[in-house]
Amino acid sequence: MSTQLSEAELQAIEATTPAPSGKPSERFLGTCVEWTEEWILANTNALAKATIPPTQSVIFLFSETPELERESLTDLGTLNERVYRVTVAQDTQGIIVCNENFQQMIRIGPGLASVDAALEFVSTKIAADRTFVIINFAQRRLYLHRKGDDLATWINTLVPTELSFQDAPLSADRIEKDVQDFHHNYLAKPANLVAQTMWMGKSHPYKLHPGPEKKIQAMLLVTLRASYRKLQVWVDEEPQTRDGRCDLRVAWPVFNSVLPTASTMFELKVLYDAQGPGKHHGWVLSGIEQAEGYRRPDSEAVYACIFDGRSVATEQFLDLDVVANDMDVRLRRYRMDPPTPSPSPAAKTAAKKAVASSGAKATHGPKKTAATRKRSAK
Amino acid sequence: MSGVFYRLHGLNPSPYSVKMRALMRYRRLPFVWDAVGSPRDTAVAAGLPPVTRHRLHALLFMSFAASRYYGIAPLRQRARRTEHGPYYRWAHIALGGLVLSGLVDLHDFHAHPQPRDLQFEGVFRPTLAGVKVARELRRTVTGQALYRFLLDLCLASARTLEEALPADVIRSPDARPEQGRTLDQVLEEDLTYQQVVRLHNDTMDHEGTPEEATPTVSGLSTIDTRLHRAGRLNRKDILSAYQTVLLRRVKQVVG
Repeated sequence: MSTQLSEAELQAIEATTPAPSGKPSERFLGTCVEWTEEWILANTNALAKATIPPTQSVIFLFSETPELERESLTDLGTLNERVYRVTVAQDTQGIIVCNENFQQMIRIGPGLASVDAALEFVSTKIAADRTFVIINFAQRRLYLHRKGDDLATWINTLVPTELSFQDAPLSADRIEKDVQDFHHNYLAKPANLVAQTMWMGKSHPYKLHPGPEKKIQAMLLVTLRASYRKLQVWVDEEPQTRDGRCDLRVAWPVFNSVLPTASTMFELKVLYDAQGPGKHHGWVLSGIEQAEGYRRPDSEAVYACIFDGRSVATEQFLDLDVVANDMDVRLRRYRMDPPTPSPSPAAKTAAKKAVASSGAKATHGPKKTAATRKRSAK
Repeated sequence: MSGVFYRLHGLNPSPYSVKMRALMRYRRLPFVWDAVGSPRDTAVAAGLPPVTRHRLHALLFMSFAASRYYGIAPLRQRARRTEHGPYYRWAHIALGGLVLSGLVDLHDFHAHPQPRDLQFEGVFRPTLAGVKVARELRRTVTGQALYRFLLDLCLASARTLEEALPADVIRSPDARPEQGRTLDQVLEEDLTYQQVVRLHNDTMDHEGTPEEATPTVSGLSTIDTRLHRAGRLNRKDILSAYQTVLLRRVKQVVG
């Protein structure tokens, strides 16, 4: 055999699809979505006949070394049953420890009575620094917990990822709508799940944890992947190149076209106070220019998505709409409401005094002005 | 003969076995080479078949041959050719040290009578303590870069194996040896490996000078350029595509 690759060999690998991307724990989440899709496809008849019990649930717990770590997870269960990814068995349930590509899956705990039981189980037995997924098969829903998400908050603001398997033709507009929904569900309010992991909290108003774009990217990646069966979503993991690093690439197969796929690119930017007001205009502009740089022959559209977490967002840099239009980049703005700052002790005391004094005045009735006196006289 | 194939018993890269393999290829005789068979931790994280000493050194060979594609200078460029496969002396000594310190678990141990070095075979698996140490090492910049590269390599191998074997084979509890054999065959088809086994030297050099790209790096770069046209994939996808090519070569040889 030659030590060089032939043209035929190169042609044969052109259909290579991206593997789940991101950190290992994020790739695990992507694999969970893939596996659930495979399970639904393999058990379509059972789902249609409603023979899948509505309570059937499974917890997939991420571990880099399931066989080793199983021994230290006896609190969660003492079973030791090998599970094979490819079987996608109809009766899959219980607590299963998995590596990131599901080549190693070990059931350590028995089936759970319901999703509520699963939530109770994770809230009492699993630490918040673990990545895990609860799947309810009848509802086709996944509940994704990323390591570091506060468990109590996660349960209280639980947002399921639904495998919708939309069959309608894909387009950049449809995906844009999903990004809007994602923003509404996860980011718009400080109490939303992803927003909670981004803001430092009320004691540090308008301050974000480092790498806010990464946090949005990781969750958007999984959410979009779950929305469509044939959608490929991946992120650039490589060191920054001349064109920068594209935050999210989305591709889908197309038919009756010269190119086998269509794609759209998303550049994600977050605006926040600590950047300094002088930097915001340049930051948005760089997002537009980077998005333009990522355009490929099969790109249906490229997006610069601006997530605005500033305390005062009156300046919207409308002049950049013209720049984006000229470059054919779709500039989209998403507001992220920051948490309301908790008042200082001095302010609290002052507020209490104000309430007390206004209450005392209220007992004597409102003070009459000259105008009101005239009106009452008439 | 097994089924429609001849079974070639040989120890890779023994020159006698390689010569026999070349002859069988030349005569177009279908055959399966029943050759005997850090990447150790990443192989576990990627769910690869059990890591024997032979497989570990073969993985090391491919990782050293490919590392410049990730911008990593190979730690060791030269393996010694032995009847038990490529042999990295210092890696082997380090492995022995890790076993003795309890960071790596060893079973199915057996020694090879070697005049120059202490060589042994076995199946290696990190212990919990070993995993903890590896996690600490990953906190350094170099440690993180090495771990990521090796994990990508092993994940690509796992993906290739998934495509290689029929679903019923993978489902079977006895599939691991079959997966292991396929992995060994894919590693042997590595472009650099193929180049050096033809030389019949005592050593197996990856490259003449550090500036000179190995056939593996050239192959990876060619794939990268080709797939870049269709929309850039990540480097681990390129590693995966590369191993898919090697797998097709294996199938071509066997089929």
